[in-house]
Amino acid sequence: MKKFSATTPIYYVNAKPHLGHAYTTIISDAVCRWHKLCGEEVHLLTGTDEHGLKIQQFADAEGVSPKQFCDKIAPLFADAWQRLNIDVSDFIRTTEERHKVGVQKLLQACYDAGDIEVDTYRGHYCVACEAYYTPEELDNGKCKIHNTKAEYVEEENYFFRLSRYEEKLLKWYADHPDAIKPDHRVNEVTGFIKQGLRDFSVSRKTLTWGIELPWDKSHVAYVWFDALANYITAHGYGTDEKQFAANWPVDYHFIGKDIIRFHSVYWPAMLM
Amino acid sequence: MSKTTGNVVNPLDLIDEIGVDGFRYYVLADTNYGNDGDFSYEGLLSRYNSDLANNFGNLAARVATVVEKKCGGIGPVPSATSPLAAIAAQSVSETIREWQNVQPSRALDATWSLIRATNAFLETNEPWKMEPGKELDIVMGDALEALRIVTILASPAMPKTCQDVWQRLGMVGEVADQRVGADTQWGRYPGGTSVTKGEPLFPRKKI
Repeated sequence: MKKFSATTPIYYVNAKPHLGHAYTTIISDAVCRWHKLCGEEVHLLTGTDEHGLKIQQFADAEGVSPKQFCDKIAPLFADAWQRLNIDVSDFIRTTEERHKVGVQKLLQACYDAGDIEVDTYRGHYCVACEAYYTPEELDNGKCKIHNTKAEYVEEENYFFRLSRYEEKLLKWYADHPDAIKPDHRVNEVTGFIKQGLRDFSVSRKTLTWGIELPWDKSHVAYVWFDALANYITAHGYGTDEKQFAANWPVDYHFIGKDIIRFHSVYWPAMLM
Repeated sequence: MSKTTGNVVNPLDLIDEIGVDGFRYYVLADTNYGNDGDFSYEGLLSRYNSDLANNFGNLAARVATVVEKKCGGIGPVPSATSPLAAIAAQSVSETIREWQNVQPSRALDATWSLIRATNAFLETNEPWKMEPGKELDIVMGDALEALRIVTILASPAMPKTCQDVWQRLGMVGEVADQRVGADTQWGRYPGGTSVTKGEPLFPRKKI
């Protein structure tokens, strides 16, 4: 039987389920149901993204542990999808052991390949986005999305050498012109790559709520690296290689437009 | 995974208003995938009324009412030469193409073209004014067949409602187990099933 496999983003548990989450999830479910109607064997993966500084801060504010905080919010997503009649095949939480094992394997593989190296980061960081910005990307020092001040930080980080992947990514998109839909987003992505890619930090030393780097336990993985890996860890990467070989790659990653860069630049480079 | 600021609309509140499938339909139909969704409460209700209450719901109610009153509640066989057959074939092929292109709103529009055509077909023939007999049976068989095909095509968007309609048409099994292609061909409705009206699928909302 022909297979059809899709993923929704995993949703960050800093907020309860809202329209934006429901939107992508309903579309994913309907497309999967269509493929089932066409006689295909369908798999839909969704889940929750639970690590990072922002979750730590939310938990601190409520006086609970980050795990307790996540345990309270994650079921709200599972309930919402049940209520909306989403036919979920697998729901992954990034605090699960299977995910941790897979993320550590991916980190180690990138480290061994020489794509992750230690460096000192100096720059501005928006906690709400969990992302670094250059001064040009900020508006008077404020994050353009949240309109809050991006803090200046200086810390030792491990970096993923994304800058080495410009040509490889551009070649891949040239060879796979249908990789991103709708079509006009392809130009946005290739345009971004052509401007030159900056290495991105994959670890935090000042944070404990995350997955430890296997070779340096004083650092935890950056949440985006951690979160993106769910797409493979849920399919057995690091825990069940046979299952992984049978079910990866999936057919579609459904995403919202605000996370295109992470999925179309970081993620394929991480997989390369 | 989005770490940007949350949207204020809680989808669960809207479910109480228009039902799970009404909500699913709105999300899928109102925006081309890949473009910005522009949510408005008025837009939601107006689309619910026009596409669901006045079109899909109305078609299902009309067909069942006439079959109940004038065909003894037993669905007549569709005609192979129905004017709706070609429209149905086109609706099916466009719906397939748009779902393959991951364009749910266009796919639903292609499916709804068959609903609109079938409602227009009924308005032209006015079966509610016809005497029971062969002529009426042909009209109602055709309308039932169009509705059966619509029910399969719309099921990914509205699984529960379509399963309800499937049962009201007297069809056995699950609509989700039908196959696009074989089961969406004109003439697969065998006739002779027990057709029931049931509660309105989508009660009209005041705006």
